[in-house]
Amino acid sequence: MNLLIEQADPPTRVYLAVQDRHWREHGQVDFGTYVLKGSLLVGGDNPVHATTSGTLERTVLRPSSRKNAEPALHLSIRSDGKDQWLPRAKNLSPLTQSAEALLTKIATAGIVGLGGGAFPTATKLATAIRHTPRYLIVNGVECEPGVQADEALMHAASVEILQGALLALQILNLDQCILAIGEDKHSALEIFTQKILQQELSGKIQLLPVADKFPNGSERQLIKICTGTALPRNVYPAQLGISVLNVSTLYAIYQAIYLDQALVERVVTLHTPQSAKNIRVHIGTPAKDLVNNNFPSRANAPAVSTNLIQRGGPLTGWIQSIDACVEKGTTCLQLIKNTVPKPALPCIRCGKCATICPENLLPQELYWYSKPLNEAKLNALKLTSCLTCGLCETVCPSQIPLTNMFRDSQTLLKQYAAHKQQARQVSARVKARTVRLEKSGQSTQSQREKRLSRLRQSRSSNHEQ
Amino acid sequence: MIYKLLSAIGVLGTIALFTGALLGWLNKRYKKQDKALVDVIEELLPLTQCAQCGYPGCRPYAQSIAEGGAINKCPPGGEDTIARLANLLGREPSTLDENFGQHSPIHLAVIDERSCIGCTLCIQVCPVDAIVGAQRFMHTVLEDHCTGCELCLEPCPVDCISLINTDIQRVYLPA
Ligand code: SF4
Ligand code: SF4
Ligand code: SF4
Ligand code: SF4
Ligand code: SF4
Repeated sequence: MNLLIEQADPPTRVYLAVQDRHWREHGQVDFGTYVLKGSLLVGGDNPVHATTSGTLERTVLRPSSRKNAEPALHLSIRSDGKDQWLPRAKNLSPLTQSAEALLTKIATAGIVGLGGGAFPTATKLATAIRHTPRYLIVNGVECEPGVQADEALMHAASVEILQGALLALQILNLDQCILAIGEDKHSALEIFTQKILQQELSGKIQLLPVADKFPNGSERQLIKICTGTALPRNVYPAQLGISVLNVSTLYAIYQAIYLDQALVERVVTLHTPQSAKNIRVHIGTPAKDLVNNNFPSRANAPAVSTNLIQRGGPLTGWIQSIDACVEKGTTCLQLIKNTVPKPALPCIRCGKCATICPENLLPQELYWYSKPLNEAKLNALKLTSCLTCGLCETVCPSQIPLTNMFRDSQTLLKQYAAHKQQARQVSARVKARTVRLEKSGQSTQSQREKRLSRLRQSRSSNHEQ
Repeated sequence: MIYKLLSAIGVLGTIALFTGALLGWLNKRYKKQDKALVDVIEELLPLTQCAQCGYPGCRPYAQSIAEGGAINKCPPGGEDTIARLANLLGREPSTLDENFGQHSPIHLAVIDERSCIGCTLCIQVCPVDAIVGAQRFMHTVLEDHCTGCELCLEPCPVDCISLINTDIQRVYLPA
């Protein structure tokens, strides 16, 4: 696959995921308004920008691009095809600006982790600052086979990425950062070695080739490699002052701060069974349009006449509807055939999964205690540190869908914890209220009886009406 | 002779004391930390505190179940909760006793703040102190604490409290 990035034309419509509530509270423009590329549509903590110029039509329900999600609300913009930018500020001098000003800029540009996590970058950096920054690691490992969006960007925009890294250093008030790049990306390594020499940045940016073995590109694994110590479970990197930023994120930071551009486009690797390429896409482009525009003849070929597409790499990705749209965290889209997965066989306790697990977990045990779910055991087996990387599933001779199961159990455990927390909270509040009322001489018992009878009355009168 | 007798008593007594102390410490150290049944039951209830079950709150209802009372009185919990309780206690699941009310999905109370006259009546009835406000000032519901028990709807003289559907899904611990 070549590493050139093609620029995609604006699609006829873009659809931007937005939460109903977020839209109601922070919506900035009315339906029917003409918006320019980069116009702010929804403010607040998670800003949404128009990604092409056109008319803001309405909100629609469309298949979501998130894992296992129900259809979600999207703002639709009918493009006028001109793709015209909002006027942007010029002559910005970031080097004299304070860290807060730069962080605000990053937040208002809507920048999130572009490696797939989509966590707001400004929040991440601000947390690290609160806990005293220690390390900045730039993640250019991109270890999932077949995903090349970052690699292509490193080719096309090495200078900008370095500028972005310098900005991040300035924000974190650090002297040095580590630039980790996958070993197999020879030409990217070469380009960065040259550029760092040319710009005399070797004191600030330390290049580190990292084995491109999956899952070395995941945040926690990479921290282990770069700092030599594994993060304790339940501790976020930012809490230890460690920030890991993806190269694409740094590029977006560069664009936001030097060019005053909101995050409206990203590079996506698009695969069909026959070929693949890297495209700079407008966020919100439906996957179907992307395939039709780029592989017009193949989209209708029998092998891919499908309504499904995989988002993300082959190992951590998931399958979504082809009508779902590119989001900020979409790194790769892959047309797949509609195949029925082979049925899972019983676990034969071969132990292959435990040998390969990068977190040294025991997937066969986790599997055993996931159905029916055994909360105590799963916590003891550290289910929460499972990266859902899918390696165990790949080697399992019984084709047990381990990763999905672990992901579901993780969600359930989280919900249980929330429920318990709520139970404690409610009990505490009820108790506090009882004590207070008793002190003031009212009895909760009589109060409640009064309330109850009132409720019953109102209910029965409602029935009669 | 008497000396031997005394020394034997002394030695055995020391051993007895020592073993006793050790056992006592072990008992304390490795005490079985089972939660009380009533706590486990309470966690399975919806914790709405709506009092429809005829008890003044979820905890007293849990108490009554722990003492052998019926398990089909909680309308917000519905059949799900009954099934879980039955599973936990090894009883036969029964259908919801509709005398106590009908099962409905979980709601959240919202106050239309423009119409609120600040009479504080709603504050007085909220079982979880989820409403904040003061006399003649606007009142509002703390979303994170409201259990959707509906108790605040009726006392409001200007009918400015309504229930909205939430996407909150109550999760129950595996029994
Ligand atoms: S690899 Fe599959 S079959 Fe082997 S122990 Fe793990 S879960 Fe069981
Ligand atoms: S998905 Fe499997 S291999 Fe990967 S971390 Fe989780 S248990 Fe380990
Ligand atoms: S009916 Fe259910 S939710 Fe309401 S107080 Fe009784 S146990 Fe709690
Ligand atoms: S605010 Fe109303 S519905 Fe919510 S818990 Fe309080 S009384 Fe119940
Ligand atoms: S009962 Fe109604 S009017 Fe009175 S304080 Fe509460 S919301 Fe306001």
